[in-house]
Amino acid sequence: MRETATSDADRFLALLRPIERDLETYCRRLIWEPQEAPDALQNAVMRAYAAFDRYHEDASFRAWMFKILTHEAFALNRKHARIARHEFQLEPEELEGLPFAGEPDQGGSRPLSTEALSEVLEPELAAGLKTLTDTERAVLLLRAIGDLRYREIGESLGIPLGSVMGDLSRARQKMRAYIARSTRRANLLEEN
Amino acid sequence: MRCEEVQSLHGPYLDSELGARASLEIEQHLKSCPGCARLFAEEQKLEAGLKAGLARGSRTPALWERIERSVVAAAPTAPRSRPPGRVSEPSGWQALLWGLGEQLRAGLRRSPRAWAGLALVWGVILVLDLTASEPNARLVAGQGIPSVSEIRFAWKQKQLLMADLAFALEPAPAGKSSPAPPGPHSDRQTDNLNT
Repeated sequence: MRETATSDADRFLALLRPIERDLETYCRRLIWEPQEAPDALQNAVMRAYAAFDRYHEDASFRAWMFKILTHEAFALNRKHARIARHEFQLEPEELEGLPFAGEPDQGGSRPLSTEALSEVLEPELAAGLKTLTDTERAVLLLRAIGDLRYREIGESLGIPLGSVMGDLSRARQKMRAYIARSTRRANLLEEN
Repeated sequence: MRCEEVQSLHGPYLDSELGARASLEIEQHLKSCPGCARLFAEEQKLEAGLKAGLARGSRTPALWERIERSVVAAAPTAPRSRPPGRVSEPSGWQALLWGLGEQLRAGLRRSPRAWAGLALVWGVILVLDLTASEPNARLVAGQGIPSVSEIRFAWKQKQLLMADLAFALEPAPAGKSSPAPPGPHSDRQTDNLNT
């Protein structure tokens, strides 16, 4: 029996180790209070291990772990009731700054380039994520960091597939709009 | 497919979430529509940049070492350390029994087959005990328990037998003054009286 338990722990850790970095990155971006990320990770891992006998080999361990971690992070966010305080909505004119659909940049500054997005500073990314609702942020991060399928994202959050697509589209638009606005602001500062 | 319809599906298409038929239709449209093809290429680059920025992170070794240790410690039958509360070691026969128990436990831990052997020995002992005690049980059941009157009767018989024996062994009354040969105590008593 002891050998079985040990092998269970070994098997669990063998599945966990390859995704530890992604789990931590996801958690730190999803949770409002950065200092609570270690607790959220530890709680999620222990919950997953406690339920490991109910995990089926044919399911994606990655998706399973991200789902548990999402619930843990949401619980902590709700516990501190900080969602409303952190979230703020973008104005409609800010959404118009999207580079998609070939629209010319309304601000007259340089259009948002791929390089600009990939070199976005960490504070800008963090601030951009705060423009999203909890669900939009989770959908975006589960796709970008978790690399989950739409179906897996829907199962993780308990929302239908159509909502996943809608939230993901809105989240991407908001992030690009925020970054485009930051870029324009930086360009104006350079010109002045 | 019209341009508006194709552009509305750019997200699921680039995320490889569309079915084979829809994907094929979009691919065909992009081949024949340079405008949509350019927009899709730009969209793909932007999404890749955003994804790279969001996925930028690191693993904290100390945190994960702590978490992994917690997992190992939470294993249901993980070997547990002896509780620190026990301060005095057993002595004398307790130490002997403790040592024997430790040896037995260590042996059983090393060889799980020992459990099967132990169970087999107990099984044999149980079978032998049952077969040996079965006739006796029947015998006792057949005899039954004697009643109180039977016990009294047997006790009376024994008393009469003892009385008969005592009467038969009693010597004839030849001389009433012939005392029994004195023992050591009698000697001492006689000496005391004489003095």
